[in-house]
Amino acid sequence: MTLRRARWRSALALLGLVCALAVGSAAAQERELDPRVFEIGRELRCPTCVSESVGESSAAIAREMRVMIQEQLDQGASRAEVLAFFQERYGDWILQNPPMRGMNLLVWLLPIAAVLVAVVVIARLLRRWRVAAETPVDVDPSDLDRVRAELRSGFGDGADR
Amino acid sequence: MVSLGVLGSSALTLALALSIYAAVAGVLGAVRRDARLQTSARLTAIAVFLATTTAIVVMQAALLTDDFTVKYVAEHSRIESPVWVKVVTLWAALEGSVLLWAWLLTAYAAVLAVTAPNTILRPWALVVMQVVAIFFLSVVTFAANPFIVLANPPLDGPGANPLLQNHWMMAVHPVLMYLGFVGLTVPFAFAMAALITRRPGTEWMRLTRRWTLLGWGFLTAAIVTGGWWSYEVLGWGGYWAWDPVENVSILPWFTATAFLHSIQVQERRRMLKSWNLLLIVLTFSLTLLGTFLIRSGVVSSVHAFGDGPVGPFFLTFFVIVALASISLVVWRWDQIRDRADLDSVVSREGAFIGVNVLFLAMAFAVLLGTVFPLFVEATTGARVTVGAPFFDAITLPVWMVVLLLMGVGPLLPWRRAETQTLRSNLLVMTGALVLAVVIAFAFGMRRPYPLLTLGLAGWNLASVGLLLAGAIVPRARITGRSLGEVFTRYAFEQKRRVGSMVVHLGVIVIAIGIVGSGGYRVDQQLRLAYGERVAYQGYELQALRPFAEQEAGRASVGVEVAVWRGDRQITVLTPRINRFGTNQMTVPTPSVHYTAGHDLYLALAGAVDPAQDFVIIRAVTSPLITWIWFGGAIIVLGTAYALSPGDRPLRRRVEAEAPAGAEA
Repeated sequence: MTLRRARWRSALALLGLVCALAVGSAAAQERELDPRVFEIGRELRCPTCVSESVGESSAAIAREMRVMIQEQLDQGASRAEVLAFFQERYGDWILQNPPMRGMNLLVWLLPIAAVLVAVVVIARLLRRWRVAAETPVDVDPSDLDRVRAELRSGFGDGADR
Repeated sequence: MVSLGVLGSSALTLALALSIYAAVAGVLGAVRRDARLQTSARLTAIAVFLATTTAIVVMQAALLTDDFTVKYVAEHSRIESPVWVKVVTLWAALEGSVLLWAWLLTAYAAVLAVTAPNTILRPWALVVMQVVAIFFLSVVTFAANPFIVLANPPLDGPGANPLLQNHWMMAVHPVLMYLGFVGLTVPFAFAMAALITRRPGTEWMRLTRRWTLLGWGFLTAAIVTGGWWSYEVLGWGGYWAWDPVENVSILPWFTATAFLHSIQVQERRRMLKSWNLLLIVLTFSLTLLGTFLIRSGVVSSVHAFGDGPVGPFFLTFFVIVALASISLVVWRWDQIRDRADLDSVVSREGAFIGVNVLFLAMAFAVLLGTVFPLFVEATTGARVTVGAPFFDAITLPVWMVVLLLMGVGPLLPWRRAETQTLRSNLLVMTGALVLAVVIAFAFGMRRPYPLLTLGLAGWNLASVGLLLAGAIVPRARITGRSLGEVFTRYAFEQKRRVGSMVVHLGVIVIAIGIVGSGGYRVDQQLRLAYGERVAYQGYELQALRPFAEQEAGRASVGVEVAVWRGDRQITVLTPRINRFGTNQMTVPTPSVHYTAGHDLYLALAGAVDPAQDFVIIRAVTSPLITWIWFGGAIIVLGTAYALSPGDRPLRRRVEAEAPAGAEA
């Protein structure tokens, strides 16, 4: 698994290099970026980072991607178009928010299903407990007699007191 | 002279041997009801603590004297580092943190051995503490021994991870985290003891109530300080990114918070016995599972400082703990099965059950989201990302309901709420909610979550007001004392209750900080030519000059940026890039102007080149973000207040002048 991951990383790094070439020199990065760039960047995964978004990371590829986002916004692209652009190149993996389809449905639906199951189970328990609260407790008649007798005789003669 | 490495290893081995003895003697003493063996086990718990303390002292001595024959020092310390960095290097990497964890655990075990009341639970609780200690001591002795002696010691080491050296918070946050984890081990130990001794009543939770609260308080403080550390160090203007390490630290917090509330149901109503046992087992297991996930490298994270060979150990121990405690619960099922009765869902216990479901739901969703990429890759080979937007989307609605219940719950009486009182209370609170939303709307807020959160803040403030009024006004009326006097007396006598109100207020303050900074944050990358003033969010930023500094073990370059508002220069910020020792890693370090309304946060986004007449800056304004740290402080104060001694038992209060029926 590690080997495959390493290969992935190097492939991505290569991809980053291609992007860098497309962007041009480092000087191109030294430009102003709008707030929207960071908002959109936070929805994209930084490909070479461990678990940071493009909006957060200071890795080289994240900076390049921020510039690419800005350039696309300058050309009038919408947020959805920018996200689609990266999704096309990297796949669904690049999106921080897993799109709701295929396997990903599980991660969205399981918590909801779990809550529903919990609510049903608890509702049934609560009903049982409410019934328990309403039904009089079964008491052994002999116990009841004993309590009555002790109440009549008052304190003082009980062995435990 | 004996080398420090050998001394430290010996201390650890001794601690392990003593700990095994304490566990065995404890079991025998408990089974045979042999008081002498039990005493021996208790005294040994103190000896274990002394042995681990020796190991800690030896490690500090090695770090402070730069003894590079000790492997841990050679790998993580550096001669030129300042003293405080050397001291905190103890927990800057894996082996040292496990050592610290083991030390704190044996410290708690020793304190328990001395102070825990002599009940049938005590011997078994101490045994469980020692078994956990045996695990940690074995890990630190065999799998991750920091004291290994190097045959060819280097002349100098690389120093601690630069991210950790970069902020003094590093001296505080990890210790708080371990204090929290260890604190929650105590109720777990007593819960196990309760199961073993067939006494699953309320005794175990009464004995550990303070420990639970203490552990929870430390965990909360650790999470908040961790967020502040991220904010001050990571340089992107945020504090929480739903990174795996952050997620696994909040998982036990979710279950511990649920536990803190649901034990009250058992104390008052004798319900939820099995549920509480399962919750504390879950909390403790989650600390182990979390440590496994991040230390084994199966999920990767920006904060995973030091992978190591301990992953399998934690996984094994997690499986053992989970299996053992669940079999115990099943085995004792007859005793712990609830014979509960519930008069009405609209009651205090109903609210507590609701809040339990919500916290457990969040714990489940966060755990699922954290391990989901791993699960998908293992089954299909495909790679998916589950990032911050997912966690926000799935937890924010739940938080809203939590805040809603937080206002209602404390006002509901046990058993059954009177419809009349409830209705008038809800009317007042709804009024406050609507008022807060209208005011926020008038100030231009349009996003749903911030609006709703502010509304719920109003709702909760009204709730606290009603709670206090309900407690104080009748007392004042009957006793004829002034409101202030009655309040002081009430605050003094009802420390747990008043402490919980303070904690809830802190939660509200944090919630406002979170939605403010999350919903209205602005990030911008600016090009500042030296001398020129550039407008940004109502400020003007003016790069003055680049600078370079050299300190012990640290080199930094940065830029002085004057911050103007109109004609007034407010402050000069100094975003910089730090480098530590020979480490090639550069750490961009932001500079923050803190205010109650919003923070101005500057970080360098490009190189500082003297030949260049401009500098690239990332500027972030986060409204209300300081409220998060402030709210964290309020929660800590509230917890400390609830824990402070002098909480009189109920009997004494009845003798005082409070009349029957004055209780809110």
